[in-house]
Amino acid sequence: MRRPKKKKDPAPKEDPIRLPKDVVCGALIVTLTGNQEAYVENYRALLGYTSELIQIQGKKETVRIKGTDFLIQYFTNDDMKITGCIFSIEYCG
Amino acid sequence: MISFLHFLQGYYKLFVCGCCPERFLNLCTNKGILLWKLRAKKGGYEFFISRKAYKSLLSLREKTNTTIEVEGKYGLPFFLYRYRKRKFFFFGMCGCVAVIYFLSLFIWDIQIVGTVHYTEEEIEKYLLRKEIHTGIYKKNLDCTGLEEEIREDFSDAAWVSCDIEGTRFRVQLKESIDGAKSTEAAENDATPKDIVASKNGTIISIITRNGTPLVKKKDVVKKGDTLISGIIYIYNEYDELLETNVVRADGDIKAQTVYEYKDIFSLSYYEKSYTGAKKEGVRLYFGDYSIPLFLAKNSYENYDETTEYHQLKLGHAVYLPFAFEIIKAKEYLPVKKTYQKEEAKKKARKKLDHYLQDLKENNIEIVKEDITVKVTAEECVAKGTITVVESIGKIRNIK
Repeated sequence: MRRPKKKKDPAPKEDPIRLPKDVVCGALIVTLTGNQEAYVENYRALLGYTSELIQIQGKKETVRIKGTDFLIQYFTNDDMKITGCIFSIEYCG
Repeated sequence: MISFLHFLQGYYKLFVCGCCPERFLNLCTNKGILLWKLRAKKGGYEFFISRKAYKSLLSLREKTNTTIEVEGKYGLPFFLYRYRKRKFFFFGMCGCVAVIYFLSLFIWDIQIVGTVHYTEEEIEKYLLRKEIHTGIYKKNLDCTGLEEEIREDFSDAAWVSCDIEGTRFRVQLKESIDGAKSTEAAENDATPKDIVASKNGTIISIITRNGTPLVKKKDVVKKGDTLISGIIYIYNEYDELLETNVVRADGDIKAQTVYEYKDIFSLSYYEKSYTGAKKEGVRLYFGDYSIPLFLAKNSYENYDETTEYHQLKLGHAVYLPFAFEIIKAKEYLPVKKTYQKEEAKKKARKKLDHYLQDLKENNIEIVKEDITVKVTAEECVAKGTITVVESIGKIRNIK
């Protein structure tokens, strides 16, 4: 009598080698330190910037950071550091 | 650190405005240009950018049709450019750096730390004999050699460390507690010795560790009497002398001794009454030379003078051969006063207590004090005897 074959664990279809999401999907990374500091990586462009609103274009979506007294401490091709008082972060389309 | 690098390279504060300044910013970052302190302001953006990156902005400006205004130029290159015509200023700056560098090659301060029995002056004199003084060239100092020499010449120094910090030469000493090292050396010394009485007294206890005890408890001894002899006589069973050994006598002998105490002081004394008048002056020092500065000669008959010496230094340890001294003189009038009888007695008692405390600190046990205080018309006399128990053994070579 043949032994029934063991079913293999279903491997994740999208991420067979478990790469980080930001590498695979190009997801935008926002790291917050309290509501005073935000560290943004993996973006494409800065769409708009006032002292109350910052719009950042990711690969798929746009992020809106709302708050007051915004200052971009540094801005490079890879990352930026925002300081100020952050009220909300919104993802659009 | 980054801001210091920015200062060295030079940087601009710019204001960008136009129809689409965000595009300009994105193009900057795509070109790998770092922007910092980016702030939204009056329809445009204000930011800082390095001097090198500024040159590549011109093509981007045309592309995005924006206008760039330079709001400020900061950093060393701009500073040097601004003051390029002030040659003497730069010579002065370079000269100042060179002088400071030159002075930092010498020792300008000697610090002696950790002395207890030896005084700092003693060590300073010793160093002077070794030709180590302020103004010596640092490379001529051999710290390791000097450490060994100090250890050899100061027998009580258990640990010595010499080091140079900036322009300061520091000698750190650790002296052995109660001359432990010298005691150890004495213990190792096996030459035959007696223990003799250093004072007159009555023996209270005697513990002999080595040698022949010649006195017993309650014996009255005089100064110089042998207490423990270093000669050991060995007899046979018929009381015939078999052998004579000569050893280093060792033991503890405590005896009751008497100290004569006499303290006389005058009942009249002077008290300082400060008038409030004072004068201040400064004296400048350059090495061994000094120049008085604002040092008015004071005409006070009686005054207290205090001086504060400040040696100039750069940072923590780079001492310079320049110093200044602040001299303050405060005038006072001596007011003659007289102690009342009770006051005089109190003062005499205080002095006696101080004397007894000194004795106790020297491991002398006070048994009895018999002091009488007499106050006459002119002076106060405290007189009497203090009976104590103390160690009276003193080592002496066998005669």
